[in-house]
Amino acid sequence: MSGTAIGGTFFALMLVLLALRVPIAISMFLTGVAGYVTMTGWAPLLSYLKTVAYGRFSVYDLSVVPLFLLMGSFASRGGLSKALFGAAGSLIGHWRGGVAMAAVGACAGFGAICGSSLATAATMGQVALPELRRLKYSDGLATATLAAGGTLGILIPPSIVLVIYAILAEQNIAKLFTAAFVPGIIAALGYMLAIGIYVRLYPGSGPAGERSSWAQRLRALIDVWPVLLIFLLVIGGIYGGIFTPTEAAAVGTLGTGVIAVTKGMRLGGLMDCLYATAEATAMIFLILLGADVLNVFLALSQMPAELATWVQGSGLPPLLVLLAIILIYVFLGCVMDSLSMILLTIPIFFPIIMGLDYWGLNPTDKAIWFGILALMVVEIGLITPPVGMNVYIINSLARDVPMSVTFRGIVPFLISDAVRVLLLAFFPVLSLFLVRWMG
Amino acid sequence: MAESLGAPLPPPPDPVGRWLFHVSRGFAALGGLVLVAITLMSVASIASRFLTSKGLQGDFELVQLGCAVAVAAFLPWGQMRGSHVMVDFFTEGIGQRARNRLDALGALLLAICAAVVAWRMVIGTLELRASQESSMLLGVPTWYATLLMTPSFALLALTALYSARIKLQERAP
Repeated sequence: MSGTAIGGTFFALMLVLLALRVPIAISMFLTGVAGYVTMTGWAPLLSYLKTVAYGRFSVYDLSVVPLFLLMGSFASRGGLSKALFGAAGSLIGHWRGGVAMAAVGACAGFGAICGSSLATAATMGQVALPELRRLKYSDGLATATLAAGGTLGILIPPSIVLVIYAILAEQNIAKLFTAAFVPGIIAALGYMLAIGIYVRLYPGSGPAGERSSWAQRLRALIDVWPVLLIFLLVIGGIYGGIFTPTEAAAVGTLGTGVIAVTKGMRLGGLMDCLYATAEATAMIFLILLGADVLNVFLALSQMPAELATWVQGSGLPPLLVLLAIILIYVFLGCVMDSLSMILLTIPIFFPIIMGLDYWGLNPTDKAIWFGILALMVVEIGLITPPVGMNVYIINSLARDVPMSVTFRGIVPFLISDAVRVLLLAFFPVLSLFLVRWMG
Repeated sequence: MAESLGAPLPPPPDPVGRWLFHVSRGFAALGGLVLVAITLMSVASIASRFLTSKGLQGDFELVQLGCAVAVAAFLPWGQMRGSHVMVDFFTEGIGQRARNRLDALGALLLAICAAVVAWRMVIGTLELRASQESSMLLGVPTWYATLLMTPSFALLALTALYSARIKLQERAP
């Protein structure tokens, strides 16, 4: 059997394991092990397993992952989500649908100090959902706003998924964060626009809130200065090349930790934050470990390289290939989480994309452009049926709203997502100009 | 997929489960403290870089070593909390009993993988000790880190075995 045939066979086998509820990490791990043994025998595998865990867990760039998670944990404890929602609400809450837009704005703000969608959805949901329901927003709009708004957690840097992409594709994390900034803002504005159109089509679904006075607004804005300061320190430090991403995450963790302590976090609260971080970190790193074994096998089988050469030689139009990849992501997103998708597909898709020509982009630009595009597309999976994780999280906060109502409410946001993905695919400059401008 | 991230969950009622719960949580707490230490050390290093234009010697290495140990220590807690992600889309139609069996199988496979990794890490640690591999600047032996990581994988295997047993005992509602 050729390498590609072995690679393909075992890949198919893995899909069976996945469908049988075997944890994603273990499906990858076992497939990698089986494939590795088939190709090289037991001895090299057993030798590789001696250091695989240390090798994977001690990657310097990966240390930002637990730190960003801890930072987000502290930020929720410190009530920063509440301050953000208050400030955004005081500015635009009196518009029709304005409080929902404010929730999106607050999600974007929270996303700027939190690298995870689930944490953003959960945190902002606890803060904004009661308010939206008090104002008699329609159930579907209220829950869908927060489920969709939560995805801004990974769209707006810092972003854990983007860190993983950077490592897999061997790209610069700082540049990717820079590139994600404008598309993240476009995402937030697009969601607000979606709400604006929706409440005009269905008046009564999003009543206007109270208008705040300028004095109230000023006071609310003063409350968010810690968020602004931490964001500027973390992201400014990374963009400016003053800190490594890990150092920036450490600064942000300390900053949010201090805020949480001033807001009354004591030892018990600290331990709760640590346990939550431990749980989320364990989930991510076990998948990273499994993916490492799988990817070593895939690389050994040469399947990704051969597939890339085949696609390149087949004369398929690059845009068609891109469309196919995007559709695969949307489909996978229906059954899988975003991180597993990136880990599973980037080793295969990345060489394919790099082998094709898109708007004459040079390799680095192309890698950045595709990374942002992939990030946008995998995030859609968080809010699509049947297993939109963000929808589950928000619905666990509002148990009386049926899941189907939320999924119906999601539709305007999905349209907004689709438009944005097209924009980013056809206008790479949206992702790239800030990177070029920053040099 | 993962449920209940961060939501409070009481320890299991049986003695074995309770023991595993507390030991795993203890591991997570220790790992968490290492993470806090990494945070403080990184910030101290930045501060020293600004004040004396020289960061702490070997700060990157300590982050790497500390992070590897901390992350491994988190794994058993993740298992006790049932936070490892899977695809449940294709098995929604089958009965609860069959689903529990499949989950038990998944947990058992996880236990085997973790046990194999733990076993290989023991060998790896011995070899690293013999070869005296150490970090570049501070000369911290790599086997210190792998030695500290090994118990976490052994505990992960035990917690996964426990999950498998619980899933088999669970009755359909």
